[in-house]
Amino acid sequence: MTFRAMLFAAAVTMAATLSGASRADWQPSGPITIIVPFGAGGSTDIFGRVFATEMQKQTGWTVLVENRPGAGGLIGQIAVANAKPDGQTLGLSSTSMFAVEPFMPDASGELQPDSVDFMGTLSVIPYAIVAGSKAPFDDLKGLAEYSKAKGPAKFSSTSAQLTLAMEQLAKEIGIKFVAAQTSGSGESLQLVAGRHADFTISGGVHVPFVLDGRMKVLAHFMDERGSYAANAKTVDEQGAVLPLRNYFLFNAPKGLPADVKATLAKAIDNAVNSDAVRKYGESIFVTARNLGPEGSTKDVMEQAAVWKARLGK
Amino acid sequence: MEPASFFSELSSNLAVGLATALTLENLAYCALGVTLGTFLGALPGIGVLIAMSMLFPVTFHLPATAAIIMLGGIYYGTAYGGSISSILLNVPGTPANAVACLDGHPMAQQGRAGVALSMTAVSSFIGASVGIIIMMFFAPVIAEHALDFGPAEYFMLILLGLLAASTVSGGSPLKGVAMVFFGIALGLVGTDLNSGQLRYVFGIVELRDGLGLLGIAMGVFGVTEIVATIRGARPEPVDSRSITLKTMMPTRDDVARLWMPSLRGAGIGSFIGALPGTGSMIASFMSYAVERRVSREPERFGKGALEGVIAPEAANNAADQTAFIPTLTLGIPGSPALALILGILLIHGVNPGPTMLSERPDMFWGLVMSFWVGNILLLILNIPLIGVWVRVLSIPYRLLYPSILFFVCIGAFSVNNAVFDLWTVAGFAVLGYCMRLLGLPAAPLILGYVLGPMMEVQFRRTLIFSGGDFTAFVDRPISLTLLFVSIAVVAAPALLHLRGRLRRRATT
Repeated sequence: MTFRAMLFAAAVTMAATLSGASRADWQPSGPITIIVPFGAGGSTDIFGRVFATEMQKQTGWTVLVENRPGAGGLIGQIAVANAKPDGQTLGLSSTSMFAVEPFMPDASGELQPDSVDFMGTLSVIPYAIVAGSKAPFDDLKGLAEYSKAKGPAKFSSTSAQLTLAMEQLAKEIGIKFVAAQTSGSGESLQLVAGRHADFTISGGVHVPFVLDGRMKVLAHFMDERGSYAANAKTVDEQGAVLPLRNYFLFNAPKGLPADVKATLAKAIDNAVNSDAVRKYGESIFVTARNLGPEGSTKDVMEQAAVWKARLGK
Repeated sequence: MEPASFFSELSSNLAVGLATALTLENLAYCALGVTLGTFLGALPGIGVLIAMSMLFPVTFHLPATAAIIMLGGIYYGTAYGGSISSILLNVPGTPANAVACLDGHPMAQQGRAGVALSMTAVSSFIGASVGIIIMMFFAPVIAEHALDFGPAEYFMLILLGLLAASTVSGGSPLKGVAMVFFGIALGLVGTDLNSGQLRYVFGIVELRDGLGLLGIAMGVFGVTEIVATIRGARPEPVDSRSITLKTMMPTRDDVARLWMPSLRGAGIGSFIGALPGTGSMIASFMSYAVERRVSREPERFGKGALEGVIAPEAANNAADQTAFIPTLTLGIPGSPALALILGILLIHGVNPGPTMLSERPDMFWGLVMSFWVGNILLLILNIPLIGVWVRVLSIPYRLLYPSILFFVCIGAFSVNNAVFDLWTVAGFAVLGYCMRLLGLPAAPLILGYVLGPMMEVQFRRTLIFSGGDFTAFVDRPISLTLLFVSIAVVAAPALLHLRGRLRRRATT
């Protein structure tokens, strides 16, 4: 090979590398804001901040978390859907925001499953159906028998979506219940601990109560058993179909350029699979897991179709 | 619980609390809180709500315990500071200090301002101490039984609070009740918790979560107070050099008059403060009335009687402390200021209620111990450093009030980063000013707004769980007792009124 040919080859390689780099290495022109449509200090907010710190460390970008609470998450999510698709606004909420909320009887219709692009997941939300440890039933079948013998069981529900999910489950297993809405898991757990209500569905706040023996898990309301109460079975193991699979779900305004979307998806995946995020997940008994853009879109759309059929809208 | 184990548990709790309260960070925020509280309290028209709401945004960036310690410091600090302008200017620094004008200002005119200020600081400290001790002993007891409080008990307790707020306040009970209902109506705006239905939202997305306590409180209390103070009479200038440590030295007679009125005030204040719905203002009014009744020389009152200043000031400080009991153990705020504190706790993911003492003992006991620290700091701020606050009173309003309004706007905006919230403040400021011109009290409105939705939720929850059976409200002892107390609260003033009329008729 002549010297000139070598030079040419080197130039071609360099050009290829450069153009390749410019395609994959989109850089944001300012801070990236992750809108959490719930209050500061809640489970989504805290996990989101652990994630944001890690993403900032890995990418060198400035990653901010902004709480935009209101209307059960609707206000913040609508803000994400209406943001400029420049890759600098992301949303972090939950699957039910897109798979259940749009089909609720009095939904405003402003948010639909396809209002945003899904970018991946942080982990599954560790829901469980829990009761006071002295309750005279230990699983869903026991709860069903109790409700038949003693009249409708008292369900203290933390969200309308969870009430709908519970109705679905109750139909299959034969549980009779009446639902009273509370402002959150804290209040629900108090009602259960004081035996004013029989059971609730909680997304993680119950774990310390179960560990110190004040409460027990009737069923893990997710695909696997939470290790903090490994003896309790999942909904599926008790012969029913899990009516709702809720993830902490990343989303972005529709219409992101392909390179921006690819770069962000990669950055999200790297941060979710970091030690820091995994370690925090372990502390709240969940496994960090990213379904990626395709996987999470598929999951949301499948669940949305099921709920659309269920709620007949 | 065995008394021995109760005390050993208490002492270990106090150790935890002291360790929390004395970390450098928490100590600094406590000092900042009480200093700001004294400063803002001393300024006429700046009540505790506006002082707290100005600092609201800052608390988002603090750990929960530090945030509450600081806001708590502002809260009880304003009660100390508020008496300064009552005594020197005859303008109450906060509504709870209004009674201190009655005898405090005459004392100042007689050249005894220094004594009035120092004795007020001491009696405030006595009142607060009694309040904190009661909180230390009773909060754990209430928390232990709080899980027995079901929806029916909560409903009755809130009903009692609302009735007390509207009828005991001293003004027209009818106006009070009307404002409670107006507050409840404002509380209806938003998403119904049970059905998810939107109520009175008119298609405005921001209204789905309701109007927002901060906007209403800042509007009807904060901005209204400022506007009304600007419009009101110019207070006479104060000569700051006239207040020296020497003039603050009480005579032997003053000291002799200190103890019993302070303790009576503290007792009344502690009791009133611990009831939901009543507040330090009612405590100070009631304590003044009692003091005049038990005095052997009632004719001295209104002409500079020391007891008339120190008893109500002990009462309002005691009430400020015991008001934390229902807020932290049951999650029911006793006053608008504590509703804000409750809101901050919720934002930080702390759920005030029966489990708080067991879940977050560091925070609960840290807060209690920080109250001691804060009150000792306040004693220092209000006796050796009194000259600073006296000089604060000579800041021209034209500089002071615009800057305070500016901070209020930043505070209102930064909670949700929403311009809509600024409009809420402005709208309620106009409403609050109109209410003031018509002589309608604002506190029952705020309590109606805060407690009304809670009451509705508990009412419906009781009926959902009982299958629509109304006897659920009376078939449990705690809720039945609370119902009887409520009836007594309404009936007692009416009976007293009737007796007075009969007696007058008999004499004429």
